[in-house]
Amino acid sequence: MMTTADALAALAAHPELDLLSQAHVAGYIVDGIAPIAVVRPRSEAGVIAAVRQAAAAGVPVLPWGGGTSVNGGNRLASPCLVIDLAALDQVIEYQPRDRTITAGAGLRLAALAKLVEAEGQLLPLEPPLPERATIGGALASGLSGPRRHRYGSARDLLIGSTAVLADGTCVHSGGRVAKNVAGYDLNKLWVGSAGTLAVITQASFRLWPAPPVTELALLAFPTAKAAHRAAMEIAGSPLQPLSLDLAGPATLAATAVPPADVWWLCIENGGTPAMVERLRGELRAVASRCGAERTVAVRGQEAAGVRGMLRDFGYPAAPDALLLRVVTLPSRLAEAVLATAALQDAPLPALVARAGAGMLLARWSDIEPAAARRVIVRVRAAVAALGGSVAIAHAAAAVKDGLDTWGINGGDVAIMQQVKQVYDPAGLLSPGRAPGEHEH
Amino acid sequence: MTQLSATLIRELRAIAGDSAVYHRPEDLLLFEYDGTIDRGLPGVVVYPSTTEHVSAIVRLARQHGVPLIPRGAGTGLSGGALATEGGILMPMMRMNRLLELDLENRIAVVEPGMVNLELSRLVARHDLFYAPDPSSQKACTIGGNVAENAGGPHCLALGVTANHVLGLELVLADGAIVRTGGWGIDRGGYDLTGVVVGSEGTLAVVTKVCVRLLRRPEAVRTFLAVYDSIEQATEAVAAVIGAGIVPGALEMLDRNTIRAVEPILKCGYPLDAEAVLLVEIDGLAEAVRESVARIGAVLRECGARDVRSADDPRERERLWSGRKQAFGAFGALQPNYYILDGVVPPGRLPEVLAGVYAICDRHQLQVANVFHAGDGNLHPCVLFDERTPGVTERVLAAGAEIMRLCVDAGGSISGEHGIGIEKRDYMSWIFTDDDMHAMLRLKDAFGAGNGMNPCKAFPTHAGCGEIQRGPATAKLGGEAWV
Repeated sequence: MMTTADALAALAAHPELDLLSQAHVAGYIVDGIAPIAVVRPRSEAGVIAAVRQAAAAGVPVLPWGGGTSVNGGNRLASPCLVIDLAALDQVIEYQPRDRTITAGAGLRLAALAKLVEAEGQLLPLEPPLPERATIGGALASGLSGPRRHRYGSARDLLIGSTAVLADGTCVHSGGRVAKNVAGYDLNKLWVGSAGTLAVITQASFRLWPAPPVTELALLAFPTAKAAHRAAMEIAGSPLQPLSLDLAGPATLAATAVPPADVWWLCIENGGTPAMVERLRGELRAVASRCGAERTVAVRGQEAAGVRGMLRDFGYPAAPDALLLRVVTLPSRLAEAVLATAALQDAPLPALVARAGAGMLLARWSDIEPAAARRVIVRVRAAVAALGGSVAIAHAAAAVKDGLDTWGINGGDVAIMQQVKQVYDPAGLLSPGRAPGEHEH
Repeated sequence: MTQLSATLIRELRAIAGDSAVYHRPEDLLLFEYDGTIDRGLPGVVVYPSTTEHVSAIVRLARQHGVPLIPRGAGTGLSGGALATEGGILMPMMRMNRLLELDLENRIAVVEPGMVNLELSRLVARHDLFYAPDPSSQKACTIGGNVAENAGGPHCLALGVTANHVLGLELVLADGAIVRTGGWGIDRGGYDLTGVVVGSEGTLAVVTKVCVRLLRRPEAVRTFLAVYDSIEQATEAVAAVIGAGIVPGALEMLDRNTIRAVEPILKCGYPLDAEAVLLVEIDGLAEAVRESVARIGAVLRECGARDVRSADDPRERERLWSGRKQAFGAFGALQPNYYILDGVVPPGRLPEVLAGVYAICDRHQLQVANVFHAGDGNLHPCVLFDERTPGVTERVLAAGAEIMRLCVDAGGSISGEHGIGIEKRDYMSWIFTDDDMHAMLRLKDAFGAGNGMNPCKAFPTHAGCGEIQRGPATAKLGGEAWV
């Protein structure tokens, strides 16, 4: 069998790959584990070569996008060969008239956004830190942002992909047209798979027209319950705001919104001026019905600041921070807030919720490992009683040790394990991170 | 023809009841076809009423080594629900209940035999609806829609079935009952729901479907734009999209379609037009109001000789009637039709449509085009009389050429009808062997083997290799009906 040293030598010699020097490796430490080496393929062929060499030597592989969420997920089981996809950042095809775009996995989301904005279009895929986050990373992490309320999440926007399996097989699924039912939809499988099934190298998306006018409405409520009631009313109405986020007390303190001990419901309206005006009026009525203390409308830079904060919430994650992603039915979100924030003897978290999706993000910015584990256990127990589940989006390696970060259970986890088995039988891709794969 | 064993039939009766099992030749003939021109005769038909029935039937099929083919209403257009290899055909029509309706979260749980439109009817009084609206929605089932990942005119803005299914209950090939997805809770993990949708019954049998319901839009307006040339109409499609408008639906009907539907349905399409576009705008009242001037201008700039619009439900229904009932009306032109389903990038529509006409001309075939123009989803409908010697071969040859045309234009061989048996051999035009083998690994992950709806969705050499064909398998060869 080929040794690790043989594999690295082969990679160093490969024309489609750059093997990074040891000086750069420090930037790729995950869960406290330094990589075996870091390669930066220049092409898809380079990715295939790297994965094949690794497979031949039995070396685990960690796909790397912008590095913004790579510390999420189960604790990495062993040192890996990091495959940094940053050089696969080409726009492969963009036809504005077809409302689709195809690009390399390493393209940063902010760069893509700028390109399509120039054509009056929008890719409403909004993971945190778009200046750094890449297309491939956004898909693998499955992270979404405020505008998922209107446009759906990555699974609804991705129409085609190319990915490299653990044995180096290059697999295409979907295509470059918005409607396509040929073949099993492996795109769906790659989204949110946390780099455990395949290395995504290229993706095609459907695009939306950018709304001509946007405006952010902020409604301040005295309690989470009142804010939640307003959110439910808006979500069930014919109004279609772009986003519907809830921010806990002091969470928006760093933005232009005056800090106060209130719950902010943050609603982005978009459309023509007449539509936005109508929405503003409707929201004022909801605010008064649900007991809002005040309403504020912000635009331009101010709005961008608040929007950015809501989108990036929890990121970049500090080493000792704990970030939980609590999901329930949207109607039970207020209870989930209580279950998460009202723990005895635990510091209060900062909170942001995607109210329409029933998703609550809770961040403890600096918490001792023992306290963090207590929080996780208690939040999970309380949320399970609501029928929801809790994923650990970020935690220090010591906290994650032996813990399952996915927070899912049910009969389908066994199928997920079989899915992992058929695509990566040797367990080489993002080792330790697949659902049900954590150490006990 | 060989018979399935008497034991198997007896056991099926014991599971689902005497009135649920059909095996006499005259009964089986009713299940020989779906909406395609292919046929396949099942060995036995069984109607389960519960998930437990399904589980027992699936286990029995495996035990006897016979194929199991789940079926909805049989309206499919790619042969996905045909028992081409014989075996047990399992229509899910008796499992048709609405099990849960969560109005607060706008979620419904239905059994797979629920008819698509029936669900929207049941929730209409709450101002809700189920978005995917295939043209067969009065007959087709949600379970069939899940198997095919069905679309419809309003998928342009709202997405296809996959975008509206939040969770499934499945019966695996070993009879195990499993739930996938979060059923309204976005809980993460591998998206098994997402891969089962569109898998054409080859991975598992779907026994419950959790779907998202949408709030009915506040206002709707339907536009009819009349064109004297196909080119103008296709340019108008591109212009609407280019103007940053996402209509609820954007449909095109060509001259042959207009001439078939107008005399019968009186939908108000001018008989001398080369094409009409149906554009539906929905949403906030303000958005719809503003669209009247804006859409009208865009449609006229592209040469529309007339643009009309309606917001009255009855008048809108009349404008839509020619679109929704087009396929039935084709019967007035020719006794048979063959509906194709291909997708191209919308910008390529003008050249691809021209190519479709050229191919049909060359094969001396009449073609009518009525399709989802906004997302480039073509439905050329080849009209013919199967009694004409050799015509069926010409129809199939033209169909293959049109599919090739779509692929060469950067598109796909199916937008919403599925691969079934009809297009399995075209799969290699868009996917490599590696791609298909990677997809087929999912059969192993689900433990599906090749008994679940065998020989569908993939080329026969890839998906049908180890199909068990025991003596119990009943098969009626093509020669029996040609």
